[in-house]
Amino acid sequence: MSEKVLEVKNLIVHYETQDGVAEAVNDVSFSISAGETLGLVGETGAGKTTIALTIMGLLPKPAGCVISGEVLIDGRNITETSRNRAKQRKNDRMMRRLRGNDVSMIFQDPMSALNPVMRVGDQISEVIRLHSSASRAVATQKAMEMMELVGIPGVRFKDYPHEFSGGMKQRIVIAMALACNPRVLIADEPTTALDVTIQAQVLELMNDLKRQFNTSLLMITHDLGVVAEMCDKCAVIYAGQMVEHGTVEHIFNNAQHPYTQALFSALPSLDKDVDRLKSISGLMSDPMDLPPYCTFYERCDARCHRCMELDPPLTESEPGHFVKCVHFMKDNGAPSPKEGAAAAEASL
Amino acid sequence: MNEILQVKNLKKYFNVSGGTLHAVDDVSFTMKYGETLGIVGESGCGKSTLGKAILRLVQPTSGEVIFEGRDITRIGNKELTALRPKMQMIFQDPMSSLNPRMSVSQQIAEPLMIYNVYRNKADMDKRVLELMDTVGLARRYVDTYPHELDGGRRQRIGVARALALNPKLIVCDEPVSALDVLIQAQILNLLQDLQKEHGLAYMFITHNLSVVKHISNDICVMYLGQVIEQCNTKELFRNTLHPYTKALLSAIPVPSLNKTRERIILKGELASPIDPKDACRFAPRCIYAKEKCHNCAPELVDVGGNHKTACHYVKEINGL
Repeated sequence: MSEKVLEVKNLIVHYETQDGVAEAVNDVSFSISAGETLGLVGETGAGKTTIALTIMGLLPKPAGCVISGEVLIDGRNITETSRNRAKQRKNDRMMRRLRGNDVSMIFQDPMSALNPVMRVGDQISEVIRLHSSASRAVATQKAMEMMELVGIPGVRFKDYPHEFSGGMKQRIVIAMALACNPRVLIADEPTTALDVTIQAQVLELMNDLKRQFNTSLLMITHDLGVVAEMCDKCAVIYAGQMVEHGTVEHIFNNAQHPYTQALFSALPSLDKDVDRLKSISGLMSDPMDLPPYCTFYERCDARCHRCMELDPPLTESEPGHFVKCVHFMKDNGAPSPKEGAAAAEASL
Repeated sequence: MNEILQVKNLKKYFNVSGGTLHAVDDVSFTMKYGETLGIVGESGCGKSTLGKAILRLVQPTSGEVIFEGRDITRIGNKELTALRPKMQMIFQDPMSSLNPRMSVSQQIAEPLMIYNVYRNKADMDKRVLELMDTVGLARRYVDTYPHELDGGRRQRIGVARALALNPKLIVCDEPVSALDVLIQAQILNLLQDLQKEHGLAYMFITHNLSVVKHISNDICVMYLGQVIEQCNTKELFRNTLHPYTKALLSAIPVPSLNKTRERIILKGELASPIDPKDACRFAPRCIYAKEKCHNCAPELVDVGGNHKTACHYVKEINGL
């Protein structure tokens, strides 16, 4: 594998609110190499977007704080865990240079990501002018090229966002994000707000551009179909923790964590006929009140007595495939998942 | 009488500054008791307007909506009020369809109060709790407010409210689009259970083809206000005829790695529904489009086995 462009190490992020501390991200680590795509999958509130915002240095202040951990872009740490004001300001200044240049982000809703009273062309050239010494004319030229690249005629340079459809707005946002040829691109549900036929167009465009620029992509989504289409690796997030991590082949052909399995079986399929969907009851644990043991315990089909005794670490079950489940720990004294499920059924 | 609802040549036009917007243009179908009809299409194709026109939440421009043997497009307000309990709606976003200042019990009791179903409050409270049990909402939430609940529970309130007056037909407008997959599966299962128990007919509006395949008996595919393909669910997925439906099916990202499907990527986007000319509305994006498609609108015709499609060249494309 080539060098790691983005590395997240043992990241812990909390939101400190009046009602208490929400443990949004708990000890998450992953890395992305050049040109690679990692899919981050999970439910609403699992902490996916918080991870993205931490990498971008855009956590809402003062509630969001990085408690510990590191985010490295090209080996350079960009998080500041200290509460010291001066240090934070210095870090903010550095982030402003990095953001848009080395790492940029595509947001879910293109309408709220664009400035409604600014011409789209100016919005793209603004990014270029901020990060290079390009003159206005050169930046305009480059912005038009970017627009053509994402399939929008350059003559629409002077149009305002409301004159574009949803799919085209998302293309503008992509053009903006890629204008400075960043090493890392974070896409937070880039196609959720789009129709399927438009989604197909945008995904294809992203795949082409990724190959062309050799950009590393962090793809945040709740749609496993999108992951299958776009990603090389996949990480499943549950209650701020990574519960399964591996290549897409590992996740799609040999899902091991009960939560990942539940996600797959809850999807209505186009190929098979099922009378009733399999769903698990209950809700994700409240991040304000996480249990000291396995966070998925309450909803798990394969739970056993050991699950309540410890918080299982992420264990390598096969080379490159990590699972956070008691049943995959070595010498855990717990029955295998199948036996566990049988025991759970018997006890009901 | 087997049919609960017959829609004949229903049209809904809106006058907008640029001309007349054809939101629903000449749609016809029938629905049977206890069955589910899926309406699929992209945003802006008129599927929500169709649902609202059928319930007369918007007044149709022309056409007939025959509910239990009676055309309801021209009946007066009094008669309509009397009919409303039989036809209800579940909306997409439970947060914006619920009143943020009413507790769960007040929300569910509201239709019962409007129709004066119960003389005393005790009976009504009992019914509210019953309804909460039916939709799987724990009784401890009876005095909570919508903002305290998650999306899945809020949608259960929406379902309970629609069920309160024992309807026969429920129009479900994207009821699971705002929910996570695990919650989506719970709500879909709930809707199916209720259908079996109460013999409900659903008109299920969604853009998600895998959901509609799972829940529907029949499917209508809509494009720019018109139905372009209509048939039994199994038939639609086994024998897709219209080029738009084919493209729509191929565009869905499938959560599996072993699939090598041929991808049809449609160029362009939905054309404008304002004053459309007499042509196939899909023609500008269609890879098979010929001259005829740009000059003459195709009719929805039965190509055999009650499989209807609106395409001039359906036989040539599919080698029929």
